[in-house]
Amino acid sequence: MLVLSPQPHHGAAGRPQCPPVGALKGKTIGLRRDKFWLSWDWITDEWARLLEADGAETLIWRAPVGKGDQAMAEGGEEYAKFLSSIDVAISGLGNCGSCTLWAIHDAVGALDSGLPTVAVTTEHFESLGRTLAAQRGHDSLRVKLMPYPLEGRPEDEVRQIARDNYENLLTVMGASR
Amino acid sequence: MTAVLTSERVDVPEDISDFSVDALARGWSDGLPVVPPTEERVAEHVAASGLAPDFVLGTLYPSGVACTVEHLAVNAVMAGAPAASMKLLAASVNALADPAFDLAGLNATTASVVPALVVSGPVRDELGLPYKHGVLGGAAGPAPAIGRALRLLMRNVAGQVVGVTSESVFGQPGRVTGIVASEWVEESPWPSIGERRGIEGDSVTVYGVLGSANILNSYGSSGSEILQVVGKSLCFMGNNNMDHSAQFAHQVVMLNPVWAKIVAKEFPRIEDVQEVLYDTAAVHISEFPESLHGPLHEAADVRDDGRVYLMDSPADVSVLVAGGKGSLHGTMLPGMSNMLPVTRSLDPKEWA
Repeated sequence: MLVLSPQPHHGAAGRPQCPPVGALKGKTIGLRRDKFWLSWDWITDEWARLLEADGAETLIWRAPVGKGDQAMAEGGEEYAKFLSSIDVAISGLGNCGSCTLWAIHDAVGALDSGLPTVAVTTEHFESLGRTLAAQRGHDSLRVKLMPYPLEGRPEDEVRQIARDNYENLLTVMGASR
Repeated sequence: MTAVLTSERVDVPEDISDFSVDALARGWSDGLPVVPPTEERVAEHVAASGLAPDFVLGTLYPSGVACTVEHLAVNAVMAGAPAASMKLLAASVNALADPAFDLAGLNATTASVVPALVVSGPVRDELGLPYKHGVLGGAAGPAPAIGRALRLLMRNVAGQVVGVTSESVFGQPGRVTGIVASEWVEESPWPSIGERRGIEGDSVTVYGVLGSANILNSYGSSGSEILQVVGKSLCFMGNNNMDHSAQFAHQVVMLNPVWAKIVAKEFPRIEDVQEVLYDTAAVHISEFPESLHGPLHEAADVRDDGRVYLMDSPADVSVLVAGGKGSLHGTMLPGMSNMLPVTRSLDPKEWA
């Protein structure tokens, strides 16, 4: 018996490899935050300080949560403006279902704007993050992994984790000093 | 003219039990028996929608697939949803795809959220949707199959797969057959949800809800007392929107017809009912664990009176009348954070 498949073909076309960052000096690195994770605020604080010590400039942007279509559209415009003012995007934090989706969504947006981009997820949410990126055609999205869980740890410990992971961040980014 | 259906044709076992096993193995099914979506059946469902098979109802995430009427029809056939429900299903998909609903977040989240459909208008009786006893489950009729059609659509078209793209820690029973309910508008002192949201006639409102929970009040003799119990039930500390990371959410409350009459005697306007619930659904900051005080203050969730309010405004709760006349019980469907309800007419010409 012939039936119709309930699953459409929806494999997104493969996109080019994510470009490496190259030399940090003189570049503006954009760090995308959201309103979910205090730990991510601390980590991006630390990474911004270290990136600046390595000669980059940094810009931090916090994704708003739009209430309604108009507010969401305004958030999108704000993000586009942010992307136009940076050379490299770091998008996080994938640390739950919906926040991983939005962190990846914004990372894909940055990649589609032609920016070298790294998404950051905790280890538990790596698979979700990579699956979501692949669905948008970005199988090769650079993903920096952080220990899981981050929540429930004292601020000092999280900041130390950020510092300990900085070298690996540069490796994942394809960045050089 | 016969519509041209473009879905891939797949050769499957003829026996329905064997087909159900086969469909599960292919990742098409939830494990319950499924109806084979033959071309004839799918064509009947497409025709009943009044739309072309390639009409795009909306883009569904996380897959990012533009969902067509044909995609919907195939999954509706498999779920056992009647062809007559296609207009309701099409309007529901269009509503789910509205960015304000945040289907992308819903399908990926660790929470247990599922879309709940509240149907207003004469279509309630045309389809035989529940609104009296067992409105949220147990009443025989097409509601579970209609809800299941959307659940299969989420799996097969939107790409929501448990443990792969869905991180839902527990899920919930509503993720199998959905939640499809209607209102006992004849017993309601207030206009239907659809009318309150600006649509006369047949409409569907989709809500992102975390489940349903019973609210017992065996001694409430006044509207104020009933609403006090309902409001305090809504603001349980684990409600998503009591968390500092949540920005907003929409709550749904169902009052039985007996309670509705008692409440309306004291609060004839629905806006006044919402106002009481808004004001009652709040918890003083001192009741929260101390470690949460800082984040709640930082998120500006603590108001001048020292309380954390569940809702941003009285408009953030929908109150409707449904259920049996045995009274005693109300029901709440707590809302998922950062999602707004969306209403659509069942007439596609009225879609934006």
